[in-house]
Amino acid sequence: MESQEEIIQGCLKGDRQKQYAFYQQFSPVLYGVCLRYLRDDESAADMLQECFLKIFEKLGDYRGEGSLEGWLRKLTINMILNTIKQNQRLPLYDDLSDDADRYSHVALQPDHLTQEELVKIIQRLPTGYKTVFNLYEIEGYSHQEIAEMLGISENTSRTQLRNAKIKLQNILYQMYGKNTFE
Amino acid sequence: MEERNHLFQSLRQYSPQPPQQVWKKIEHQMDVSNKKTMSGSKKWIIGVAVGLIVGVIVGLWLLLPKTPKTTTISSVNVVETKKEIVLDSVFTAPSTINDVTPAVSAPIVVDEQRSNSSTPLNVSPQQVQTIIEKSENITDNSHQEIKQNVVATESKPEKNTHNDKTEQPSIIDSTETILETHIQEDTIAKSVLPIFVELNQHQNICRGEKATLRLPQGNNIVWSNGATTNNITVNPLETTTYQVTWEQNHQCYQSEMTISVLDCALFIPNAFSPNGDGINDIFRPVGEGISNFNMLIFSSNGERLFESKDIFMGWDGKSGGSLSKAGVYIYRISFQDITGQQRQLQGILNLLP
Repeated sequence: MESQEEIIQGCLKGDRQKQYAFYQQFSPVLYGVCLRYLRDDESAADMLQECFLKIFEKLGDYRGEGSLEGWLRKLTINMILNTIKQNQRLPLYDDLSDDADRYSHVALQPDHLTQEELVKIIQRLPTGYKTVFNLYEIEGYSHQEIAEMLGISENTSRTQLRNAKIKLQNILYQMYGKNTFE
Repeated sequence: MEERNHLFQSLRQYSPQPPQQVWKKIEHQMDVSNKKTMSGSKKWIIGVAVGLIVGVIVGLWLLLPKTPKTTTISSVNVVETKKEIVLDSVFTAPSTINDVTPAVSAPIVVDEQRSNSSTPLNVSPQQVQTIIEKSENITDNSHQEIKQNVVATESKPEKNTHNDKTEQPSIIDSTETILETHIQEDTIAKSVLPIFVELNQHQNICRGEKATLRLPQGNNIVWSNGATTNNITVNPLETTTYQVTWEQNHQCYQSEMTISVLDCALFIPNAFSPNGDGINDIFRPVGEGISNFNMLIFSSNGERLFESKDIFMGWDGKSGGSLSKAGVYIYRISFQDITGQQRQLQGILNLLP
């Protein structure tokens, strides 16, 4: 078993085997990140590819402060956010239909769903909701941090999150109907 | 208050295995970028070598200016033309070849390129012009002196080191590349205008749409798909990056642009049967990444029966509590697709019994 340091040094020298070992170690968790922010497996795989090319390019910048996984995760999220912002200004979605509130009294506790099923549902959210939801609920950033990252106001971040949850409930209800909530 | 749901928190650790081909693509990309830098340096070396050869040949010509030689080295644009010109009127040296005017009314014998022919051809001045224009490499004959009543037999090298320059368009003021997206007639929206995007930008198109990549200026254009024209129209099936190299003001440029192909079309069924059998009971379009969705259903009389702002909320065939009768109805749907483009669709659906 090689040390992380050795693998990183190998990657920097362009050693293909070390790069593959590095990829093997970190690709699943970063693929998991990509899947949550993008709309399907295919775009997530494309994003993962872009990220690794960037990672191999930038790996020399990692100074050993904090965990490597945390650093990679952050780099991946930044790349995803850049792509989202590059394609268009963060598309905010404010048009919740009236009936979307219908199920908001029901607690959002889809305990019986697998992680894969949950991610599939998150993927179905509009980009603005999905991004804020991921950053807040999963990555654990504060609204202030999210506002800075996305160039939106804190209040917008809050509304997007609230609406995202309502939308999620709506989707869950549509998919799993009464069984989920009653 | 700001507590996170544990269930969603656990998604931080969600680590699915990515598809097999991702690593292959990464490997390929890294190989390509390595090769690119290598071929770049090779190009540079070849450029220097060609430069040296041209320099040596030009030097030789300067050293041995009056030796009649008939070698043609076309690859380095040094063309030697042997001419036999017979004139009986004054003909001053023109500054450029295009200044040869039809005003010259003398029989001129032109013997082109190495043919030491003993039977000179008689041609009219107009023909001279065309012939000379045909030999593309001759650009400067200002050295040529033609004297009255003299039969001059000259062997003159036509140095053409300025070849590149003359092929350049006169002034190039825009290095900007423009990318234009056309929406195909038969794809959904009709309200879409062409989108102009600057070089090196990404452009999203919907699957099935065409994009035109346009390079307004430049010579020796080569696109990564092999095309050598200024404009290429592409219809990529998946997200593709197009490279283009071109030449401008004696410099080589390379650039690339990425066309991202997105699934933004909305699938709209054309019939449904709200009879409660659990099959096809609800009329609803299917699409990904749709926002600002709005669907209206009208009867064939134009009466509004149903409205939905949620793509997951379809029409169950009822209006005012009672089931509508079988027949033809009209839908009007507006939505924002995944690229942020607002689109509108209208069509007919059949309500089956």
